[in-house]
Amino acid sequence: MNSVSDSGAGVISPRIKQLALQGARKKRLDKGRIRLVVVMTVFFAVFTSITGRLVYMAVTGKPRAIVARSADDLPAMSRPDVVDRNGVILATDVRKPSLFAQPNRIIDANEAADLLADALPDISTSELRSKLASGKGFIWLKRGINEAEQQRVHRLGIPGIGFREENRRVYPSGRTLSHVIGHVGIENIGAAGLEKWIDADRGLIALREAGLSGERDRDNSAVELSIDLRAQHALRDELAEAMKLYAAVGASGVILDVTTGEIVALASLPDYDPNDPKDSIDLNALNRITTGTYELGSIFKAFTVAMALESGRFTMASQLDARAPLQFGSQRIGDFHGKGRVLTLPEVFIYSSNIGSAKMALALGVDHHREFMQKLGFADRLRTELPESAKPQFRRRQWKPVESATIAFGHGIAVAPLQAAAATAALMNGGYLVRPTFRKRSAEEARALAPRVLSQATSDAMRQLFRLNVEKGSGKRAEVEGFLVGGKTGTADKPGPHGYQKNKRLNSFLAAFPTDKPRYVVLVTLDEPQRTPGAGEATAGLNAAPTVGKVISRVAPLLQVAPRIERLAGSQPALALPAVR
Amino acid sequence: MIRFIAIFAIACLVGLAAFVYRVKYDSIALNREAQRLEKDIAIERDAIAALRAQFSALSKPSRLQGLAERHLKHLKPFSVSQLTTTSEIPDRLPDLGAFIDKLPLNAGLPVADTELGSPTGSERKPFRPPVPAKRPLKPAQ
Repeated sequence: MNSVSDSGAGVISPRIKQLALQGARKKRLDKGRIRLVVVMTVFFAVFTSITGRLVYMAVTGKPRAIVARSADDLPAMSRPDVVDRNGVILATDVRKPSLFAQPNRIIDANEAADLLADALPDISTSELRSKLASGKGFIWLKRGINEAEQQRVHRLGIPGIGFREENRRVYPSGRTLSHVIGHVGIENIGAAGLEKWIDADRGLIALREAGLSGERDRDNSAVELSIDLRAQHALRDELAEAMKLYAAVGASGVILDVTTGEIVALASLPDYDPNDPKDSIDLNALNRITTGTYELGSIFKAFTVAMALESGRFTMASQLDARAPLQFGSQRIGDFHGKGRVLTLPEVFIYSSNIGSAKMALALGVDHHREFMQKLGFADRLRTELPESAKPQFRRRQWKPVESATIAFGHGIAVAPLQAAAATAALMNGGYLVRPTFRKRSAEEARALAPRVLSQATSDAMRQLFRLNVEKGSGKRAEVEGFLVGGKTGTADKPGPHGYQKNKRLNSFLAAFPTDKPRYVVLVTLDEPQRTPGAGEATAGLNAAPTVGKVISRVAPLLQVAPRIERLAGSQPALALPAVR
Repeated sequence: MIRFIAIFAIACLVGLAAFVYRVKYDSIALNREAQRLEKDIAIERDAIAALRAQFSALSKPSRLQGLAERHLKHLKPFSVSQLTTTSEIPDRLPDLGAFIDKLPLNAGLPVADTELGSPTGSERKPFRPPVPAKRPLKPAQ
């Protein structure tokens, strides 16, 4: 190296050549040069890799921040919004401050408790004192406080007391959808209904345990339901009205799309406010459509008649002798509105003949009957997204003839009303048993999953029978001008501890509209409606049927069912001037 | 040559150090800015969520029904009988002239219920057709 520094800068190359000729110096010089090159190469490599890495990070980057959690109690979970089929918000998170204390930092717990008790009248002084004197590192004092309270507490200026914003679930539509949407607990964890299902479906619990649940997640797209909030409100409003009008203890209803199986509306009264779910534990506030099982009575004749037609052994022209009651040992099956003559099959349906229905079932045999009911899904629990479901009371063992006879008119079998609605959808849509859902679904998706249980011909006949019953039979009061409502009434005596009770009834009306091309099934049940002044006996045709009529007249335009106006034309020309007196 | 490279490398190093220094401080400032923006976005998101919830609560059907029942007493729900098909509409209008002739115009047309009131509070007068001013007719020539 010395020799290099001795020489002039401008003439390095000739000197190197010269130096290269000398032995010992050459060796040293070569060594030095090699070292230099090695060091340069190493530095070059290191810097290049660092630069490369920097460029890579700058280009692809988004380094994931590690969320550091303090020892605080976990904040309430963030949940996705829930919207109805038209995008209306049904449930959402809003930020609300919660009040916490760090008792180990509080100087005088008694004084702090007194001051806070003045600012927060709904918490007692003793409760506050015991909390503040606990000496813990962190404790929630009140979850979700309002602005005025926050101001008051803030003004006290007590050290060791603070606010923290938390997610609070709000349900803007309130009671309208309580049973479907369910509600959440204090930590914003789903406690019932679809909220509970969302937790499982979106893996929210796992996220929470990983400590990643406090922030509003921008990727968390809204959960879209099949419910139409407007139809839901109309249904609930009419049920509430009917409950008051007929002095019933409960009322419930469901509107089901026959082709897609989407539940457009589902209401059960009494209900509760999901924003304040303390009433939800009331047994009477259960979801009567999915969680209760009932002997639905005469509406089951629709399934019996469908079975008879499907078997090929009965046609619309078949005749059944309904003159004499059937006798099974001590049990006797008679007709409520007895005609005392031979009835045709459509007459059995529209006069709701118990004898005729029982005879059809008996003619086909108990095994055939049981298998058909199983095929319609009455043997198994109907599972939807709702975590709550009820197991139907269905005898899987060999039926006795008397059981087959009573099941033919809807006694001795108890199912969730949603199951009856789903089976009716199959009666109306050409025979496909679609599974009801609370999520949006297309007709193709539904069809792919649905087993075919009936032929098109049977389905067509059932549509006609439903319509006939509203035109001529017990369902007259369900008629809605222009919408071709069809349906079947069911007035069932409720089973009590000592057999069936004569004065406690479950009235239902099972309807479909429009019957020329059915789009929706509507099932309404009224629990223990009393006689109403001027309305005679409290039968389904006089209370459940008109309720369905009112529901359909309100929801049909909302659900974009076009009215059949051609049928109405006639008496008055379309464009007429009012008469002048 | 090597000295030249060394000087060049030192210059590069100094330049790089200055550059890294600047980038680092810029990035700290940008990071702070990003955090501030993130926080602003979160606040805005929360505000949007709260407003959307409020909008839903204000426009929920049960509330609208109550308002309609209170304030729209004069309107009736739509009825199917108000619909018709195009084929039902006649090609010609009915005889309007005869209809108008029969109207008892001087008694005033029936006036809609004024319960809603006008915003100014002034009473709405029943409609009266304008009466032509009495003017002596010019004798026709």
